[in-house]
Amino acid sequence: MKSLARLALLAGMLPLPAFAALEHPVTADVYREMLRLRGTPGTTHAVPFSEAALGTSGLLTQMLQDPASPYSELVLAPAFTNDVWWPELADRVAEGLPFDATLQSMQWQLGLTRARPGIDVDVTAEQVRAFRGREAAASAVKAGISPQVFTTALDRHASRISIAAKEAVAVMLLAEQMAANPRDRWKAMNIRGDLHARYTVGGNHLPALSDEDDEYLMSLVTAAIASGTMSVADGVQQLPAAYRVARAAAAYRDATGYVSSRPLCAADAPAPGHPRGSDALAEPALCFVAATDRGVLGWYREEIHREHERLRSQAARSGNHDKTGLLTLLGIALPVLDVAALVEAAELSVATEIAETSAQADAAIEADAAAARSSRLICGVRAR
Amino acid sequence: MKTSMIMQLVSIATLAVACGAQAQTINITVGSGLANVATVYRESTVMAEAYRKYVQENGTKLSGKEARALRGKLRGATVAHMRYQPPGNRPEILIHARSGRSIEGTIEQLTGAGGGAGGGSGSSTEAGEAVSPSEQARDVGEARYYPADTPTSIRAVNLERKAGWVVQPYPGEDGRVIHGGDAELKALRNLESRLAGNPALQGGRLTGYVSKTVCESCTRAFADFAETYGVSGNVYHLDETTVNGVAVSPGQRWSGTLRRMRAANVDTVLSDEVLEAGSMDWWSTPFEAARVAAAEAGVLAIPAACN
Repeated sequence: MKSLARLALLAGMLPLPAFAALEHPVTADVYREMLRLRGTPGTTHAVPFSEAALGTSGLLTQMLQDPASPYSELVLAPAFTNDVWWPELADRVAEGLPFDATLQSMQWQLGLTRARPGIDVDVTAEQVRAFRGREAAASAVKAGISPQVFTTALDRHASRISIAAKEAVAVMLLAEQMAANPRDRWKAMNIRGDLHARYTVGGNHLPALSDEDDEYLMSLVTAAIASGTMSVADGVQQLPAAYRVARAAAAYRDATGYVSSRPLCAADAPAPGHPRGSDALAEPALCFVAATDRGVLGWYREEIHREHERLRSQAARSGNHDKTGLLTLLGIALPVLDVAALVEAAELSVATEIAETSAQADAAIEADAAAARSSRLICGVRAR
Repeated sequence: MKTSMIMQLVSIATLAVACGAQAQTINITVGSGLANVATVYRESTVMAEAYRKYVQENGTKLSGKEARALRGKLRGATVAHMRYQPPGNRPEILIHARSGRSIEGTIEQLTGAGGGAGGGSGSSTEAGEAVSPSEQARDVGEARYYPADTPTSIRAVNLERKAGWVVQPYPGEDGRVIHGGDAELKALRNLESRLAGNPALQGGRLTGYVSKTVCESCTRAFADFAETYGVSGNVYHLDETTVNGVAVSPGQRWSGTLRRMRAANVDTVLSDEVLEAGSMDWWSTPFEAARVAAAEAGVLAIPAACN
């Protein structure tokens, strides 16, 4: 691990990642704003909430050419952009910006974009070195991870990339919270500047973190996933936290190499012979740069289960419970990851929000209906 | 909670202790932000997970109405996370607390079973002086559903107040003693159980995060605790109130965010199919990403059982 520690030192001297290809000036959550615009009773474009809500499948069907594929191309002009309310939404979330900005931000926020170097993500030569490869750099930059944090989390967790990815994103979220809030508010906001300082101090020693520190970081990333938080770092909107974690894990997978010599990618697309439909998600890895963030999240959720199984069997074989803490860390975000990619959760959240602020009884009924739709889909995902 | 609102940003200064030590203060103020919410959300997910494990292990069957009531109770329960740093280089003590009865007591209350073994009805009997020995024993016995305690990370259980302890639920403005089972009071009582009779641990610093406005009757308990044990510090709570239904301040907005996060969590981990099946282990359920992708894309039929 010494080489990685040296790499961390070098990485710490590098400038912040360049995000030129990732700039999304619209920082509002576009889908939520669309629901608010269309689902609030008494407004110009108001329709019953159930009509405003497109649901995950409705949205993906309109926005992706092959919704079940992790490698799907985008639909360039989804049908809803021809609706009369769309220009008003664009005005509302992106006043004065190019017309396409709203759609592009929506695609980004919903995890429909990919990470092809030079097309979706700008990657510098320094970043390629720091992140140990061009593909790894593309995913790491898209996840908004600094080289030093990337390397430190990998050094701390070695092959357990599911945990390393969550930790790396958590440390970045902490840094973003520190940057966004005045220091005298940190305590009231439970922003642990001391932990960040210990984590990023650099040098040849890995940071010493207590169990409580670990739990704080895992709780932070879990809450970011559950709340749909999209941080803004250096003026750049970051992906929703679930996609950041998945992208970080993809970067670790690419950076640490593969057992098989069979290439996953050819010219930033899945290599010939690799499945391209939903069956690709059953593979141990994807051609991550060519996959959408949603596709990578699907892979990550399967990977986290695989990692859990490995840890459990190791614990059973060794007859001790040394792995209990790791298993806990691994499991903290699991239920929220199950629903992170479902827009039904956002629909339920906005319907509830509208019901709370509206005197109309219909709003409460719509919120109940949204809850029923959400639980039905969750049930469908889990039921056999 | 109106008086509590007025008391926000007002510190509870206490008098100097009899020995002449400097007056200590525990400030109770509004907090906000992702990391603050993350801490209390974690406490609430641990609580929901404990209920799920209990239901699994005991094969508890709840009617649809009872299940909805349980989810409602868990969404609204107050949770608290208190860190106490004793003087010197002693390790920090972390206390996790949630409001209400034991899991068994809560479910009994919802289903009307058990004949009120928890010691009666209403939160006034859930903690503190009136908590029954059987309810205490049940709460302690449910440790296996929660992360294991360590010497420095402790789940606050219902404790009966002992002679000489100061933490207790005081009457509110209307003279009623309520909020006896509130999370912040439970946490403080558990901390008192460690500090009482151990001067070496006294005189430290408390930092707490609470999911809701600290109850009016609890603020006096914090003042008495600060005075008696020479403890200073800060307790930050979210603000669940709104102005005409609208969250205006950061504390109110983050409280709304937390409420929605908790609702989604409770509805997921204690969904009807989990409660009805009574055997779903989050990890052992087969997971197939391809199947999930197909479901999300609308090309997988939703099973009839989910309709």
